[in-house]
Amino acid sequence: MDAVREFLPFMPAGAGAIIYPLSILFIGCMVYGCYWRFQRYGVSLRDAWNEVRACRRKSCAARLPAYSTEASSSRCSC
Amino acid sequence: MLVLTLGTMTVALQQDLLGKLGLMFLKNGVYFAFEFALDTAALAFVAGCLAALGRRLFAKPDYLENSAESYAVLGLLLFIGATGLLLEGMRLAAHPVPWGYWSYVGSAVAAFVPAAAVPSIYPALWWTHLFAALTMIALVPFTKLYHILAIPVNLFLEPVGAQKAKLSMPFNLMDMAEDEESAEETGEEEPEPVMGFAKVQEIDWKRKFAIDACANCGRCESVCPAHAAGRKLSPRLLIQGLKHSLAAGAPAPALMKRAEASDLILDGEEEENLGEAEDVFAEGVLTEEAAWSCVNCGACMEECPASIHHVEYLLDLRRHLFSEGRVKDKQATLLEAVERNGNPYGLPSYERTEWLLDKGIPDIEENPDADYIYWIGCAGAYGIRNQEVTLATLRLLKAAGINFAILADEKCCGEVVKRLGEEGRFQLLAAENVAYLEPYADKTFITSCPHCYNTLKHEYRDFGLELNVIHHAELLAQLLKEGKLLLETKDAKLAHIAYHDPCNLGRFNGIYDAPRDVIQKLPGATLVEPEKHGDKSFCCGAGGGNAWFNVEEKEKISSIRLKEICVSAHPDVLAVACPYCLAMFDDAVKTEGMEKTLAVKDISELLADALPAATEDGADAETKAAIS
Repeated sequence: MDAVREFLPFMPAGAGAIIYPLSILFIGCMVYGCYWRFQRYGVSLRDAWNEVRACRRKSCAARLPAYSTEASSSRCSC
Repeated sequence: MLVLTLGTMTVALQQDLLGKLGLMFLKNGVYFAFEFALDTAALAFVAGCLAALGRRLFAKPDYLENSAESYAVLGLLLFIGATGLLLEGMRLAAHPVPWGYWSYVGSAVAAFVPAAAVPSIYPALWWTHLFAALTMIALVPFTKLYHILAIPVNLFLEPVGAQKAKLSMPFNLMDMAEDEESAEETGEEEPEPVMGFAKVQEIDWKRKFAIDACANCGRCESVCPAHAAGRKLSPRLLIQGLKHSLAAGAPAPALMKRAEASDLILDGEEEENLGEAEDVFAEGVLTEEAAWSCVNCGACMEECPASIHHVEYLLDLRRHLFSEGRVKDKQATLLEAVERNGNPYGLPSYERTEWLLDKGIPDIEENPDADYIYWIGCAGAYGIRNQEVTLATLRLLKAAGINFAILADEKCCGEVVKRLGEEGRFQLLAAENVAYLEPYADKTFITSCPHCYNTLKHEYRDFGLELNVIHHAELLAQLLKEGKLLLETKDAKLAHIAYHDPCNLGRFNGIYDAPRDVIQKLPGATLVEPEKHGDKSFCCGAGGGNAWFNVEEKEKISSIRLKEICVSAHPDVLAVACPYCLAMFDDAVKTEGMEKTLAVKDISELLADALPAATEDGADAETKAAIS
């Protein structure tokens, strides 16, 4: 037995046509919500991403020190 | 929840895409295992939700905050899990299959479902289940569920090789001096140092993100010694307060009221003027008293599943208090003493090493070929009780034939200054020390004080000095292992010895085994572990400068810890490896009237006591006589 044959008789009619657009809508809400929340941090996504990449490269290479000596950030070695 | 989400997506993938292409993978054995795994996951999910609900309703710990949002989120999760199982049960009730036992939870539910009712109920319930699941996904960023996404991301943002031991350095005076010179040349404005923060909006985005990742689980509060002692500090409320300010962009009086309800922050008339009370700062998030209450033990950071660095936020808030001149007399006196005398005791600097030099302990100038430098530390040099530890350690070094020297012009490493938040003064002191220590960077530094150990090893790196530092526990364990310290086994007294892990040695630097190895080698000794040990150890209450001033509390942290050790381990001797722990527990033993039943000793004292008379009377007889 397989999943398709077992589940198929129980799928409500027309579900497939609605479920995917609906899922995209709700997941879109989540993505937008995350973006909205990220705006509170006062940094653009691009700048944040660039900083994270640079930061991880540096800390991976140097391992130490773990915390900043140059910037106000205490969570990054760059 | 993740397993269930992925399972649903897998079925959808097969149902609507791969199945239509003839690529079936959820079939036969794989399908049965899939059903079994998902049923198990669903059962665990529903049971977990019920347990969480029951805990909130009937066994709520003090640190857990019950809110309408908490119940709504939990209720939604429970509804999704329960309707999922019900749907499966209905499907199996309407169309029983021979392999139904693989879906053992669904089969059990099916036993209670009338098959005739399935066609009419199933579609409505299916759509309800779907809407509930999608609603939960959409609500993630707008509710406390946000931590599901934020915590993994915050863990990813954690620097590789991050250490709890190392505190942030918000500015570098050396670099600033250079910038100032170049600014004068170019006519540009001089850079302003960042002194903590007064508003959450002033901190960098990663630390804002970390605040936002807080799930308000209360683990930090449950392990906080300051909170346990009834001090006006809760690491949970601190982070939640900052989170509130971040979300609202405004002060957090509501949070203060909640704190007041749990007897944490303000009382009496101050309640009327929560946001305006003189003691309150950082947009109503914290009181000054609470800021000074932190013992910097790092237990909150150790427990936090979101990897939030509570101590760093508190340190920045202390820095802000300094920048505003909102410092109490005791802290000001302490800092003046360090600056004027090079030690927090306020005693003359020449007294630091004079008493040891008088006993014939060599200074580095007398013994420039020394392999080791013994860093005495302020407590080991000036504390009457801790001077005995210094002498015991030096006797052991002599007995093992270690070629060592001390530094005649040693001064405070600055740990207490940094932890209090006076960053500028710390950097001046550190720069001075670094210049003094640089010529000896090829030698190994031995410290008896974990606070000094931490500072010399980690903080001075920011000033370009990489020192090889070991704690005396590590060295003594090594010497015992190599057979360089022979102990008297005859007439050994039997003793149950409990070891208290100092925060700076254990939690911050991962040194747990060495002191235990030393104790286990002591003749007649049995190591007994208190309930809270290792990385779960409970601070003695001296950290973060708290050894030097008092804050309002219901019970002393050292007394709480002492009682916990006695109740859980029943020791005859409490062994420590930190001068501040020794001082705090010595005091607590007197306070609790335990002088006759419990001895507090440093591991070096215990080991020195076990040296055979021959060793003492032999090679180092001269030193022993002088030291004794």
